[in-house]
Amino acid sequence: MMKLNRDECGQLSLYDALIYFTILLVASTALFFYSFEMERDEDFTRTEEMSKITEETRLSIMRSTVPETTYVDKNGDEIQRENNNVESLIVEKLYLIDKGIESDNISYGEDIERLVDDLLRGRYEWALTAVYVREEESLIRMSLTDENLESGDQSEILEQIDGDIYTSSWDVDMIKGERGHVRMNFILSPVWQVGL
Amino acid sequence: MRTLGDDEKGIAGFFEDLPTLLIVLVATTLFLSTMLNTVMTYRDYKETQYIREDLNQFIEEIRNWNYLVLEERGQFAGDRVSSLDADRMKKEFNTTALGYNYRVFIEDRSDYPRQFDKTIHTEEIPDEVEIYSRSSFVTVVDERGNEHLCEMVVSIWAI
Repeated sequence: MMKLNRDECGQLSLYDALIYFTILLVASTALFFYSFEMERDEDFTRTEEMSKITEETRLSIMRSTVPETTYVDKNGDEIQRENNNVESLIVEKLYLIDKGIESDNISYGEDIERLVDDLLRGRYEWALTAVYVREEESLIRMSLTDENLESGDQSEILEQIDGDIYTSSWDVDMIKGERGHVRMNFILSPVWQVGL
Repeated sequence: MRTLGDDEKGIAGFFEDLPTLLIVLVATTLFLSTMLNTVMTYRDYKETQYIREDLNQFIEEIRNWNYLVLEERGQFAGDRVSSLDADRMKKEFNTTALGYNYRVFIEDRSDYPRQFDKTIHTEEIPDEVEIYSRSSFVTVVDERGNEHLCEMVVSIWAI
């Protein structure tokens, strides 16, 4: 076969065409995979963005307060729940359970679930787990979840979520005078791509 | 008919012309379409990336804006949110030079009777323009110290 540059007649042979085809096929494949690379970059950016959104959301929810309400405890006594932020209410609920004075009527959890559900419904699946830890021992666990998820410990909740999962964990001191701390974990999973 | 082995001078015979032409056309078409697709994907990717960076940075700037922030990032003073208007925002965030306009919408999602809903329009949104939006959650503190959980939606569009 004559090479193209030596082709006196300036005409491509079938063999030259096959070489030409192979070169362009390799170039096309490289370009095709470059598109995938861009998508991977985009996924990475989206993951970073979602991690940030998770942290922002967690901070705002924990900082927000729930209007004061009156509840009736097990003994029929009226309890004035203070106008506290969500984080303090969760700690307080764990304290009440630990002291054995928690009642179903003291529905701290429901108020918080409703508040967060209203905020995130349709866009995110969410869950919040809290564990009262004293002397390295997990004493009491509680979880708040959106309406589509069953309550449970962290691993049970994570098993129920199909989409991407973003978490944020932090520790909070127990009520003053009590030993130990509360380990909290906020879980967020976008139902559809939020943002752009 | 001349065979491929007989071709000593690179001259294609009549029956060789058609498959040669076909292969060249298929290869060229395949390459050009892949290249076009990659160029378009790259252009969209870059455009989206730039506008997304602008949007994220803009949201971050609002969350950190001294005028609104009470103590921490994303914790706004209620009276400042109430008095916020387009002129005040435009004075602080003049994004026209950066090539985009914006709209900020704060919706109070708490159960408190007093609500801090606010919409700031810097410019009317033109028809058939692509709008990029993102939600960010903030709290607004009222005069009694209650922290209202609010959703702040920021939308931007290229000028």
